[in-house]
Amino acid sequence: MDSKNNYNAEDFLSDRIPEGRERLMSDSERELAGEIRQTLKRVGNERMPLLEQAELWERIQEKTINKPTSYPWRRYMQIAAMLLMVLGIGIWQFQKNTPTHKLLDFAAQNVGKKSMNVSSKTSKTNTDVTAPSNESEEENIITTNDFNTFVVGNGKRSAIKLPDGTKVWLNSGSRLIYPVKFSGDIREVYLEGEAYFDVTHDKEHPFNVRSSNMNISVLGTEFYVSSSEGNDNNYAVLVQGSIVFSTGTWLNKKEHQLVPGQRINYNLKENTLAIAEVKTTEFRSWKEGYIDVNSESLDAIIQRVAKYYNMEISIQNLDLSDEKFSGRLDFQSSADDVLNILCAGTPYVYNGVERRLELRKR
Amino acid sequence: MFKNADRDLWTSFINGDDNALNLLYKQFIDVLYAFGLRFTDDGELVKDGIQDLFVDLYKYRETLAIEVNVKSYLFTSLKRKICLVLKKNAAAANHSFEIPFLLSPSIEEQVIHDENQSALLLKLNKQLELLPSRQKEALYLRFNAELEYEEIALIMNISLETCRTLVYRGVKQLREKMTISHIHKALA
Repeated sequence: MDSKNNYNAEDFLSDRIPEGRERLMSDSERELAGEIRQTLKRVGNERMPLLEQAELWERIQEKTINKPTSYPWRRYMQIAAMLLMVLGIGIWQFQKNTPTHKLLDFAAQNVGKKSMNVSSKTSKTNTDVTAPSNESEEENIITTNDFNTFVVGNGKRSAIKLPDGTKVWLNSGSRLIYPVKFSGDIREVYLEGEAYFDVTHDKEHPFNVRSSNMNISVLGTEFYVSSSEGNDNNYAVLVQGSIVFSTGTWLNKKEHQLVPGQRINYNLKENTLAIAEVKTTEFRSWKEGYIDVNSESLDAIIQRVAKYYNMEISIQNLDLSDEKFSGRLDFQSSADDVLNILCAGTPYVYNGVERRLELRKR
Repeated sequence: MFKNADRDLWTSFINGDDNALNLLYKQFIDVLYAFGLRFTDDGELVKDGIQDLFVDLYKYRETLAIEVNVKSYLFTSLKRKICLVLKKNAAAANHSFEIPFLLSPSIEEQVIHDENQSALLLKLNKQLELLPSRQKEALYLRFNAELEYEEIALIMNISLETCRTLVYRGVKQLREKMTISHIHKALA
């Protein structure tokens, strides 16, 4: 266009100006070239929301890395190292005859002790144990005598299928003791911690969940139980079906039958039972391993993650209310992974050792 | 430097490092997603394409060539996957299919901080949208994704010379359309 100058924006932008001759271009052409470049830089920069990115990766992972048994042994070792296993190696005479007594005796022996020798007999049980669906395949099952003990470390969750087909999702820091083979009239397991049960229907063989201070009897149903020794509040949430909740011995026995959507709370100190209506979707999605968030702030989401994995996460005094997320947050990996994904693209990092959020260092 | 990093990731992935697949994903997810959306406004379709792409990488890991331009390879594969679906959909609906290249600015992009520039840049945006698809694609890959001509030529399956010509013609057309507003601006 300019008669004095030979080169135009198109020469410049397609690198056609020979070295040293860039000055043969007018300022207006140079400016226009810059504007064209800017315009192109500004269009078509859609970014996938971080949660969707994480979700898409989970989908890919399920079809690739997690699909075959690529390195189950390595993974198993990692988990094993994180576990605090409490195993009685003394030989207990199981003189009492009923399965219930045997289970409770076994539990009494093995739960609650702070530490003992971790048995070298640790063995992965065979084919009767398979984690349902795509839940983590980390099986930390210790078999002693007639019982399996399934332990889930802190900040982890896991699922297991019992010999009768019942599925149990265990929350972080929980333990489930169940017989290698269900025998007798009753299917009975012992729980320390929190778990979601999806019980295989069998009218002839009622299913009992026992813990240090309560008992739940069911036929076939889905429910969530939280019971920890030293915890004043123990509770169960019934998602579908019917359960009978009982506590105490025959002298001061308390019993209650629940209907779906109810939560029963047992206060150990006051020895009282309380019933409340709750939304069961949250417990269901806990089981499935995700939560849906809709423009929620980072601090609210972190509290949900903490609750989910039953752990405490410090956000110190950071103001996280400006970081908002929408979408589905997948929980199938460990708490550390979830938090790292959440923090990517924010000014924060998660310190897994101290379990707290920190400002990213530049 | 970056290219070497991509190549290193690629090589270690082929050599059996599963974690490298995740790193490749993290490295390319943003550019691939944005590029995919140039052919369709259906985000789910783009996500499916990206999923297929990475699943295929894993599936055909043993047969992947180490000597490959990683970026071009990923862009090309994604484009092929998306266009295949679009073509099928068009055929099912009895439409003819031509590979589009969508470059209309989003609403957020239309909000420009500098008020003086906004009118001009908006006009540029409009003119850009009117360019032939191939020119738009070449310009986008060159100035937005900041690829080399060699990489663009591979993705568009054209010669290096054609590729340069597309960029040249695209800018020229924009310049010719814009010069008038420049004169106005100079007079103002």
